[in-house]
Amino acid sequence: MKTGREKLVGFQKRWQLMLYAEIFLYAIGAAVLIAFLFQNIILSIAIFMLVAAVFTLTLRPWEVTLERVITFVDREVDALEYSSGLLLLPQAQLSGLAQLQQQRVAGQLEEQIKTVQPETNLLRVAIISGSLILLGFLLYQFGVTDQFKSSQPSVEQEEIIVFKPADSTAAKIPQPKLVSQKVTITYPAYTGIAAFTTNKMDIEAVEGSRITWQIRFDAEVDSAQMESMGTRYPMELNEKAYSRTSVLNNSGFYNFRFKDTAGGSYVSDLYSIEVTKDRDPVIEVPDLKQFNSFNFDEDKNISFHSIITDDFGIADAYIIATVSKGTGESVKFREEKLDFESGVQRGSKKLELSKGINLDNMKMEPGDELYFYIEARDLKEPQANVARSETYFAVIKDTLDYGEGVEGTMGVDLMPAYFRSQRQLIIDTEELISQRNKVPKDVFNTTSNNLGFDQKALRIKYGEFMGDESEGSMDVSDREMPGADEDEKGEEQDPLAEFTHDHDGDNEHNLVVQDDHDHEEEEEGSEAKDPLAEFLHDHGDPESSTLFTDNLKSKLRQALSIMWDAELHLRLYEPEKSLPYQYQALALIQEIKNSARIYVHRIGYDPAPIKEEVRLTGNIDEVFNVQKTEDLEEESKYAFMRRSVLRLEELISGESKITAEDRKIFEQAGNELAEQAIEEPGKHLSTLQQIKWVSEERQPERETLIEVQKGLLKALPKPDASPGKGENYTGEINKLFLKELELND
Amino acid sequence: MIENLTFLNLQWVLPVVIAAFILLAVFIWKEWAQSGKHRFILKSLLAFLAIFALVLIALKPALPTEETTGKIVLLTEGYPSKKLDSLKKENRRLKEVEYQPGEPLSKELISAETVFVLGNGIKEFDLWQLENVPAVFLNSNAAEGLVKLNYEQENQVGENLLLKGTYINPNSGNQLFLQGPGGTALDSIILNGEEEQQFQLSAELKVAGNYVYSIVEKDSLGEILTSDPVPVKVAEKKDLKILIVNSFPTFETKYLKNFLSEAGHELVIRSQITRDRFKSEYFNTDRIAINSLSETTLEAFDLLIIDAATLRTLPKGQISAIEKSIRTNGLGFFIQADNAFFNSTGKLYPLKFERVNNAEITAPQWPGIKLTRFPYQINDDFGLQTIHDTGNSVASAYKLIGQGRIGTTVFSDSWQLVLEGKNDVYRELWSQVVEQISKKQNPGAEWQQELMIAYQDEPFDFQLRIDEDSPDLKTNTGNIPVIQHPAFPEVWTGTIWPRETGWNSIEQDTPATFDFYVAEENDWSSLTAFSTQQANEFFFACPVTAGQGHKPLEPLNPLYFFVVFLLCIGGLWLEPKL
Repeated sequence: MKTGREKLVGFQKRWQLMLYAEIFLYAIGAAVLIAFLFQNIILSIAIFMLVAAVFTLTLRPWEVTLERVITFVDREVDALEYSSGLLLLPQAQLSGLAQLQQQRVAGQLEEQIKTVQPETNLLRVAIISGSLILLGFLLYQFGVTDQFKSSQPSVEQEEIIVFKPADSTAAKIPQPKLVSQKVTITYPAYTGIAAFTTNKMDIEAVEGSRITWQIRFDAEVDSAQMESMGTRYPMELNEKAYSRTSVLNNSGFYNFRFKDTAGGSYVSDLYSIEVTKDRDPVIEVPDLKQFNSFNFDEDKNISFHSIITDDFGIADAYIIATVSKGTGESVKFREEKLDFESGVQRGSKKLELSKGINLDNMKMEPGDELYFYIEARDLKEPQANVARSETYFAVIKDTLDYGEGVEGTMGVDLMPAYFRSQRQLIIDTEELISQRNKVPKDVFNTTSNNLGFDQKALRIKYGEFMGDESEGSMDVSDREMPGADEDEKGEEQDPLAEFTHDHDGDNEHNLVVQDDHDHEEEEEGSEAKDPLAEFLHDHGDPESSTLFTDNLKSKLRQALSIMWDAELHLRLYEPEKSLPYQYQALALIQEIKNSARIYVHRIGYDPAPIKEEVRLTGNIDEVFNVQKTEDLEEESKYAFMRRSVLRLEELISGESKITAEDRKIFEQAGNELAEQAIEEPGKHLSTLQQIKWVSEERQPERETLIEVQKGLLKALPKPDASPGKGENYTGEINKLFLKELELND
Repeated sequence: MIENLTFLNLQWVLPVVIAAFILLAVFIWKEWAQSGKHRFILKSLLAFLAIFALVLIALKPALPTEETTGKIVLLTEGYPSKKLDSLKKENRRLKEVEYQPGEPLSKELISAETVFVLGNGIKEFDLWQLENVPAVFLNSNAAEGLVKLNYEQENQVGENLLLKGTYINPNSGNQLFLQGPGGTALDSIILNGEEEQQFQLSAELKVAGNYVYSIVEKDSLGEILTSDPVPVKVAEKKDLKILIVNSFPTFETKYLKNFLSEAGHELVIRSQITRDRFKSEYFNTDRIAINSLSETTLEAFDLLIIDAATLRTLPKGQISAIEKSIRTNGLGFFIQADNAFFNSTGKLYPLKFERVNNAEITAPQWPGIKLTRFPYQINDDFGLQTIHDTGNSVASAYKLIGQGRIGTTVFSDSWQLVLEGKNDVYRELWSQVVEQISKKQNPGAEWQQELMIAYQDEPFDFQLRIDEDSPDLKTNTGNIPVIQHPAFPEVWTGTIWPRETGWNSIEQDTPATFDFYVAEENDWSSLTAFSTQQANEFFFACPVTAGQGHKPLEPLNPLYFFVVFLLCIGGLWLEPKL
């Protein structure tokens, strides 16, 4: 009983198997055909899957159920008497007759089942598949596939290296075929990019990458070489494949060349190598002003954040800060390297870093300046690329400083120091006020009086600009006040010290000539001993009397009268009342100062007079005749390209055949073009490839020659203008004509 | 009537007459020997007549005919059939003759009453055949297409090839391309619908050699309509030998020196450092002593550049040496001006100047570039050859003095152009000045071709100017005879019939070969048609009345003489039988 059912199940399995086999045959047939046609495994696998799927869906092997098997078997085998269905039913359910029949059928089935074939077309399918494969093989064998390939270009096909025979001897034995081609590009380790292999021969990689080419032939090859920019590099043979490894440094072009065992040589097309440089890191500081200034009592914090990006990863980023102290010759610099608050993650391609700089922490005082910039280096080896941001400035304002006297036009502070003394007076006065209850009264009064004196000295100095002479005779007895102690003396002299000190490095002599005189006046308290003073006080002297315009004059006069008031209150020991006047005076002086600067550079250079009698009488014994010979004529650039163009013109017109010498010229021209093409490989690559073929092939076609000529002409730059020797035939008539012309002129 | 009788085979008279006399003598002797005095006179007469008739048959006597061959229409290329029809309608017995270029015209034409030339006309080289023939040129074809083209066939590397032409009745929207060798489009213009369009195309010449450029007309879809060859000969520039003498070193000279020496020219510079001390520089050349400027020193140089200060202090002897070199050797002489120079006069100052105000000018060649100059301009006198003009004033110029040239420029401080990065302008400016003023090389022979285009198997006239007694010209097919001009012994003319298209050359023994391009038959068809029409119009402008010209000779029918001969011989045969 069991055997009957098993037989049916077995039959069903067989049927299904055959259907699967059919599907497989269809698929394999199509796939092999495609494989032959396109020689592309991936495509062929895809076709295999596709065809298999289609036929699986149409044939539906899973739908071969036992019922269908029974129907089929009943129809095919008469002896079963359409009762094989009974075999599936359990014996218990059957009536006696049915059981009998079941046994009978089981017996019949056992005998007959072998003669029945499932309803499949396996044979037909096998034939179809076989013929497909045969067709593919034949097409491949007779080279029809090559045509097929070119008419249906696929990306992969183009990348296959095509070798062409370089000379006629190559035809002696069948050309060895290229079996595999591989380029392995290993990026420098620091880039973190894994090495990869491709069969695309045009290489684009980062500088310093290691490139390994590997080509394999189906037949034995005598030797293989790689040619690049006019040099040939032999390729090593290992395990039947030729390979060469090189580290990329420059862009360029290369091609392969091999010799078969019969001595024929073959050349491949030209491929380009494009080397991309590892770019410098890019530093952005989006929210920081270039100049920052702080008052000394402010919160002196600079905070900013910076975005640093690099193509292969940043190695390090930090801030270089320089603090400058002092001015002029006494300037001192201190450099510090600061790290960002958030640590730099080595190797990341984009970093967002922030930093706050507290100027107090930098040990800066008013007047000091801080310069800083951000520096970042990338991972490039052996020499990292370093990028710098712009330099940023931070200054703590110097309260002692007026600011730049001549902003904008000149970076030099040209204002004389005694202009500053009004501010100094204010500072001293304020200090005095603050000490009112701390110091003894007489000390307070003396100080106030001294300040009054200084105010007077200042007033007199400005008075000189106005041409006021009367003020010149100054009673210095005030200064010799009894009871003035050492400190006070020091303080008294302080303003003067200010003047003298600041004169040192500065230029104010150019501004006011009577400087010396003033000092003497103040320090010695006597009327100008210097005879020059006489002249300087002269009203007629334009330098002193017309120094200011009317407007300025009135301003200055106003300032002077205000200074009078200031002095008055100081002398009356009322510094508080003096202070507003002092501020007013300061403001006016500021204004005057700003207008006054146009006078600063009026003084020019007067050369010393030349003594006519000694002119041209110098001793020239040691002066010798000079002779100089030089050959500057450089080999004409692109000489071979030019020669090639001319030669090609002759070849194109069919006057002559290409010779070995021509080939050499073309090769040189190719090298010249390659040099040019490195900059724009895309533009000249096809010309370069063609000229390569022209210099290798026996007799290139006319169209190729025209193309090459066209490409070369395009690549040739416009020659620089240069004079040349003209030609002019001069016969007797010309001479006569010229003579007549001149006679009648 | 008899005075007009001529023999067509006049050259055979003597042999024929001698032969006739011998024959007659043989006859008479034979008659005398055989039959004695019997009818001797009669037989001799018959023999004489027979031989005379033979002589006449051989010599072919002919008489000029008064008859004309009627009216004939000569159909040349491109004749309009409508016009032919109306001509036929008017003249019933009009004869049609097809014109074959280069073939002798049919004899009927010569005796025709009137010849109507229909179509573009007969080729220039065939026109002589219709001299003194009453003919009318019925020019009905309006010229169309590219009818005029003018350009310099011989050029130097770095120059611009400039083609100027006229296009009649262009199709609006079509484009005219100038294509270089290899078919690179170098310049183009779009044709507009004007009746007559003047155009100009230009291209840089980068490489030396003989090339065929082409003018291609394309329609708006880019379809090529016509393509005509433009043969161009490009010669390599030859280096110059230049001497610069300065009384003190200047920037102008320094930059000029850099430019010229780097361009490969041979350069000798002598500049004074101080009293009796000189700096001599030699670029691309060997050392030679330049102590004073003598004729022998200057002979080697193509150009002498001198500053005005040096020129003023030169001794008289050297000035006359320079002048002689200019006059006889063709030396170029360029003066670097200073302010005092413009008012100087003397032997070496042929140029006159005029004071102007503006110190900065622009030249049309270099738009937008300001050039500084001395406040002078050059007077445009008779014989002045301008190198640079700035629109309304002459800035650089020279004058021919004998074989040589003296020139100067009012541009000053041109070296600043280099500093400003306008190197190209600087190079162009000085290239033009130096090239034009420098000594010209005498090539020894000068070739001229009458027509721009030569065609295969059509006569190509050329002219050669050469100072030689009998120039020996060859092509690859053989020698070419040349005719010396009766008045100018150095001018020779010749004609060849080129056999191959493409570049052909005529070789002359010593100095040079002459290359010319032979176009295909269909090239430049509109241009050739136009020039043929013009030549025909010109040729047929003065009318020839019928009968004034040739009267063709009509040979007498030899049958008469033959009958006479037959009768006489028959008589001689019959006589013994009687």
